[in-house]
Amino acid sequence: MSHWRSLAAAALLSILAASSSVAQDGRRVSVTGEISDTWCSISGLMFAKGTAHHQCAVWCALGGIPVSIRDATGDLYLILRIGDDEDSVANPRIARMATHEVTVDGELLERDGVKYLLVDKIADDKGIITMTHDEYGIQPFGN
Amino acid sequence: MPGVVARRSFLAGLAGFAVASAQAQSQGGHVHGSAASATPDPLAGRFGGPFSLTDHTGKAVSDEAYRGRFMLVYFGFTRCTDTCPIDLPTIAQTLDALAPLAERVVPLFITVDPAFDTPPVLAAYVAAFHPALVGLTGSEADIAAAAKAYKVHRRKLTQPHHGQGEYAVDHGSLTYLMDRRGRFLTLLPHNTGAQRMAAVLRSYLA
Repeated sequence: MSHWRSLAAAALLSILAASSSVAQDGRRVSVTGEISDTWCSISGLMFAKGTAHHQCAVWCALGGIPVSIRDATGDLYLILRIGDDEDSVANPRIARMATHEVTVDGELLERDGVKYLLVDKIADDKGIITMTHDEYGIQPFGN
Repeated sequence: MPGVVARRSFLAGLAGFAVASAQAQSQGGHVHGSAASATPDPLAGRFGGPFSLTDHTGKAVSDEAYRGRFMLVYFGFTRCTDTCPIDLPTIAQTLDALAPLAERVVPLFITVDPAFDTPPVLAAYVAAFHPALVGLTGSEADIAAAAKAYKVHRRKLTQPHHGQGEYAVDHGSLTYLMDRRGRFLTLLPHNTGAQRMAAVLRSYLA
């Protein structure tokens, strides 16, 4: 291989390496899961699923933490925007959706293992269907 | 001759791109969020913002004071008994693991309980974790504004076991990495181990 070809190959490799860390364009996704609060789900400090956790999820949503959707596999999608609501934080309309099983369409951005979701549309809302309060009590402070 | 010119032009173009990429990387490790980025970072404005607080030495500081360094921001309070005693040692171990890159980072502990966490209280607390850790407090309004900017919930709780005047503060426990200009880079959730946190930070700081 000639000298200039070696240089070109090295430069192209460098460009490809740089491009891999620039990949920031979101991809279109449809996600189904329960609307919960990000902190309780991530911290694992309490049972954060279904009706057992509904009250706490509302508190956190109104208290200022972004809500998330947790899908059936346990993956968490941190919601940055829902439809016309530019912010999912401290938003009463969003708080009313706590614990609902929803399907949303939107744009997924991933960074360092955290999934961020910009929701364009709530395609389906089944309401609260996961009943866990009998088994786990009302989180975090009991009934 | 035209072939030589074409080769030179091609190489010059590649070199220019490589230099621009290298410059962008040097701004903040990853290029997202840097001025040289071709597309704006869609996450850059989602967390964080200006704050005016008081550090643990009693000095008035704003976010501007930390420009030129990455900010590792964590919210908590000195009487926390669950998340802070877990997350702060993780941050301390991360800083130790990063040395000497850690000099590019200023770790900030912003209290969610400003009524109790005065500068002297914070000074003793942060020193127990890491010499570089900076404690920040302020008025209720200033702390509320900072918490709102970083989307940190906080809720004062009084539980049956609390005595007169005692309380806890339920609070978020995400750690935020901000770039040299104070813009959001990435979230490090609670339970991120020091090894993982160091690896993520290294990718931005290097």
